[in-house]
Parts: sequence; C-alpha cells; structure tokens
Amino acid sequence: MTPQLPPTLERVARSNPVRPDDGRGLTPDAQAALTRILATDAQPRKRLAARRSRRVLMVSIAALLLVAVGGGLAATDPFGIFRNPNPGSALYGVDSSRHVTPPAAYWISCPRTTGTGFRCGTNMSGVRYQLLDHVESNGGNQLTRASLKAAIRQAHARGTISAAMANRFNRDLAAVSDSFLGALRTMFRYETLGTDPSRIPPPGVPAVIVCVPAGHGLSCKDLNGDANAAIGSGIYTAVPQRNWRPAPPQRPDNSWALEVAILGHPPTATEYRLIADLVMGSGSTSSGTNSGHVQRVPAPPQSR
Amino acid sequence: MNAERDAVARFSEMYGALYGRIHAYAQRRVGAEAADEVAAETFLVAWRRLDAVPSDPLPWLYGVARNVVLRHHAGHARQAAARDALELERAAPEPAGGGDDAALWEAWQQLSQTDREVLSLVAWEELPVADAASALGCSAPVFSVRLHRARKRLERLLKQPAAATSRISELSEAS
Repeated sequence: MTPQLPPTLERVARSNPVRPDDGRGLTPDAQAALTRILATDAQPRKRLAARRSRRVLMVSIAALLLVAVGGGLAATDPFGIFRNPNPGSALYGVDSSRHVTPPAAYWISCPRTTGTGFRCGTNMSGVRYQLLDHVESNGGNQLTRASLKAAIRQAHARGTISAAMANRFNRDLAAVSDSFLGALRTMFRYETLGTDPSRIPPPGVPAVIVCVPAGHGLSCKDLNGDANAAIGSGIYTAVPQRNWRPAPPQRPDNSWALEVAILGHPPTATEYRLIADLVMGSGSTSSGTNSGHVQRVPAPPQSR
Repeated sequence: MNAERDAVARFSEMYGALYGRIHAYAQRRVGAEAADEVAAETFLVAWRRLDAVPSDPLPWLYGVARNVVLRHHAGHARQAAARDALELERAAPEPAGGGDDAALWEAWQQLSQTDREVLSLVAWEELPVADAASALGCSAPVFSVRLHRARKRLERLLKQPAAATSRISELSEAS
C-alpha cells in the first residue's frame, strides 16, 4: 500500500482485486514458462514461426472464413474486405517470399502519414510511432493436404488428439477440395492486430503502420489493408495524442453475404467443421509455443 | 558464452522478481484464465528485447503487458465484435471489501477505460507518477493531469447517485 495516496486513491488501493504474489514467479508453472521462454533463443526461427501460427489460430472462425473466401478477390479487393473496418485495427497479409532487415528504431516520427507510402525516421518531426513487433512468417503456406495428414498422424501418435478426433479430421480432410485448401492457405496469410480500442487517431493518421529500412530512414505505409507485408518489417503503433477521439462502436464483419457472393454457396458443413477442428486441434496440440497454454477456442459465429 | 550466461541470469532474476506483479496486472485485465498467457507473452518480448530493457524494468514491462492485453482484447473483438473482451473484463475479480467498496465498484464501472487504467497504475500497481507515465508512454505532467481528472471524476461518481451520473465519464471524455 502506498502511504501518501489521497483518500480516494487509497480507497481504490484497498479494493485491489488481485494483489501481486511475489512468489508466483517461482511456482512450477511459472518456471516451466521461463524455461520455454529461454529456450526460444536456441531455435529462434522455428519458435517464431510457431508463435505466429499460434496467434493466427486465435482469429475467429468468422474472420477466417471472411479471409478465406475473400482470397480470390485479393488482387482487386472491390469490397474493401482486406481492410479492417474498425479504426485502430489492422488486417494485413504476410508475404513469406519477401524478407527485409528488421528495423530496430524504437521511436520514430513521420512528417506525413497519408498516401501509399511515406518516410519516417528517428530524427524527424510529425506523428510519433512506437515499435510494437516485427512481421513474422505465419506458416500458412505449409497447410497442404500432406502436411495436415502428417500433423494429424503425429498429434495422434503423441496422444494429444483422440483416435476419434483423428478419424474425423481425416474424413473431413478427404472430403474437402484442393481449392478449399488453397483458400485455407490464403486465410492463414492474414492476421489482425488491434491497438487501444477506446481512442483512435484523427483521419489521415494510421493507428498502425508497417516500415522497412530505406536509406537513413524508414519507408512506411498503413498496415491495415497491406496484403503483402514482408517478413521482418517493423510494426509501429501511433502514440496517443490530445487530438485522439473516442472510438466509434465496433463494426461487425459482414462476411456472410460476401461468402455467398464469392463462393456461390456458404461453406459446407464439412468445410466449416474442418476449420473448427483445425483451430481446436492445432490449438490444443501445438507445442513449443511461447506460453505453453492451450488457446481458448473461438466461439463459432452466431449467424450459423 | 559468458554474455549469454549473463543474459540468462539477468532475465531469470527479473522474471522471478517481477512475474507476480505482471501476472496480477494481467489477471485484473483479462481474467485468471488468460493471465498466464499474457504474462508469458510479456516476458517473451522482454527476453527477445533484453538489450532494450532498462535497468528499472517494471514500468517498461507494464508498457509491454499493456500492449499484449490490448492485442488480446483486439483479437477477441475481432472474434465477436468485442463481446468476448467485454465478458472477460467482467469476469475479472471485483474489488475486495464490504459495502463501502460495493459503492466504489459501482462508480468504478462507470469510469472510462482510460480513467480506470490511470487510477489502477497508481493505486493497484503502486507505481510512482513518473513510472506510470512511462508505462503509458506519456510524460509525467500529462499523466498527472490525467490522474487528477480521473480522481475527480471518481470522487464525483462516489458522491452522486449512480442513475444521475451514468454518463459523466463519457461526457467528460467528450468535452
């Protein structure tokens, strides 16, 4: 308890719902997590790929389907489905064939933030951004029929999925078309990233930008809608300013109408179940990820 | 080799000393179920950027944990138009205490997320203003102003009936 607090803050402090347990870092679970974290140094490439794949699996089935069926329109994007409709969030695709040197600058500023590309740097004035992450390979291109079969076999051999689950997985895999698996691969290229959901920057200032080294500075663009972010690119988030405004209510994805329009039919029950099983099965069987905890399986969209 | 050993030793010491603080922070914001994951993700970032971790790492770690929580909520928001994130927030433990704190909790719920974050960094994380400002990525003077306003809004809510003040926070934010 901090003794110098004013009475109101002291009252808040007394109501602390979760008091820190200083010995928690020494518990077996926490020590196991520590071991996993320290182990990431030994195999950085493999580990990073696993971590991003894991993150992809957190995306909802609705979002997955949106991107899966939208993949066919990636070149033109006439409906704007490859941009997140919510200010402050970004939907982007990873181009695994392109690699850049990861920028290391933690704070950068951008004199201009509009247009298809703009320059930013550490010694510039303008909108301030903070390094959040780097674009990493998400392993989406490994989602082939053969690799999925192998993954099912291995997961079953390790005992992480039941025989019944493996059988159903294999049955559904055999029932879906190659074109659907192609859509799955497209789907797994895409990721969503969000910033502070309560406040958003003014128009013309992207909440999240992606930057690559260019000369003495960085070449940047809005991350939202970038379908081909190179691996290693820096992901920067705008630093909140006084002119930021409260975010409007979140807009739901209108994916269902698009699915029907593009595919000519909603995903079949088998296709839908395969995606659900893929998310659930992979989420519960992935090993060597950053936290070692099973992801909460996303709820299926209510419209189905 | 020595440098690697030093890095492991430094990180392990930081982890052992501060894991409980970061875990408690995470538990308040995402609930017990996801707190382990948020804490692990936070320390993974610290491990990967150990060279950037300052000598007093706690404010820096809170800043990272905050980003991890925001991304966690954003992922859920995308999954179900923020419904899941809101449910998780509600699932977080309520402030402890008796009837007096029930009034506080009611007022607390009416504060904006920004106000709650500012207040909790000082009252729950017990951070000095400069460190709390660092965790939020703003200057100490700006944080002081925010803290002052948030405290006043909370005091106003505590004095007034809930029905009459249900939108004070929103109106204050908008003005």
